[in-house]
Amino acid sequence: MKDIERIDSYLRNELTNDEKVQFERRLKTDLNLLSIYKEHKALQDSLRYSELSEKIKLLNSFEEQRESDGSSTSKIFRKNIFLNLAYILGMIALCSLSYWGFKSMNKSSSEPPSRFAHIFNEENFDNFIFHKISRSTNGSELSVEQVFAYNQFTIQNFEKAIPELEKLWKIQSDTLAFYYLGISYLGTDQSEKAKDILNSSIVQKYENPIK
Amino acid sequence: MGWINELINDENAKLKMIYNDYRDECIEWLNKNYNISREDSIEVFQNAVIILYDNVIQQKVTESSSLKTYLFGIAKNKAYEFLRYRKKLSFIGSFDLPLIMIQEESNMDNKKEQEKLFNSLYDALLKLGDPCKSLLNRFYLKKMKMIEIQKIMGYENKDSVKTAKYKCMQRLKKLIA
Repeated sequence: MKDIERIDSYLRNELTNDEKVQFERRLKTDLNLLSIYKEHKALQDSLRYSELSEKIKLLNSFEEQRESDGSSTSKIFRKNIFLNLAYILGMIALCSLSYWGFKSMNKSSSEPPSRFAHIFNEENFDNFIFHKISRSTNGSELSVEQVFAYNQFTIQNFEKAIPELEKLWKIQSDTLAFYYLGISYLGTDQSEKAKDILNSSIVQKYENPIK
Repeated sequence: MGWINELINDENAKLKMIYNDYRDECIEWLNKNYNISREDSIEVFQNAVIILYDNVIQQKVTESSSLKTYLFGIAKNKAYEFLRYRKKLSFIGSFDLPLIMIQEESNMDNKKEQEKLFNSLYDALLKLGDPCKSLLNRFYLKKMKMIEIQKIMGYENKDSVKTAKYKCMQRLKKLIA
């Protein structure tokens, strides 16, 4: 009984730092305690999973309510029904569906030329992204114009990115925008323009995909 | 009472308030600033609300920032994640978000064994129903004090809560046996 109370206190973050260290040390040596702890930890995880899943259903019901009030699109409504049904079908099926959903969603309207395809595939393209992706809850370090242009570049929407990146380079002398512009030209089959930029000393510090 | 306590004590009402008050503004903001379609913005917004709620029950958030600032901060991060990773297909849709969140934080040595236990407990919890599930939820997940559980659930005293919890655990064990 005392062990269970200790486990409960640990899981509820009620122990002091010293007590925590002591408890964790015991977990490493006392197999019986470890076994009971695992049961309780799994219970806590299951409760958390169950709670969050219920809340997602609740949010979907709010969305459906909006739909029935006429403030959303029928597409969203169908999507939410699908999501709820998908819960019943199980996580594995859901993962596959989400995979295919995203795959079809992300097909670009203008594919890069085939001779440069290796640069723009999923594995390699990350090597050419250098802007910081902010994880803080405070404001972004990038300007609104930069966020927009960089985002368009990141999702390989080069036709939209190019005029924005050109502006950033011309007006703000943004060298990263200049570099992204070079790659965007490559992605839209303007290889001469791309070479001029990517081989220039201004963008030397970044990875050159045509070196 | 601050927004964190409101979210712990009356979460469904508070979630509804959050949804109604911030959904449209957040979706418009995501759409305008990150060029994310309205449909995807709804998914990003829902993920942000779920993460906010999870952070509250996991005691990862203090009331130093306003609810709106905190929510939009999470939404911004999710928007970046969406843009950054949608090519890689690893943006987590809201329906499989809870499992991924739990798996990411699990530091168990034997994940398979723990997963098996997790699955059987999840099934058992569905069968267990209320008031046991609510009691265990308040104790293990929301980390409420015994006295708070006593008041909310109408038990006579703290000892009755302890006894009820013990009985619920016994029932749960029988269900997974």
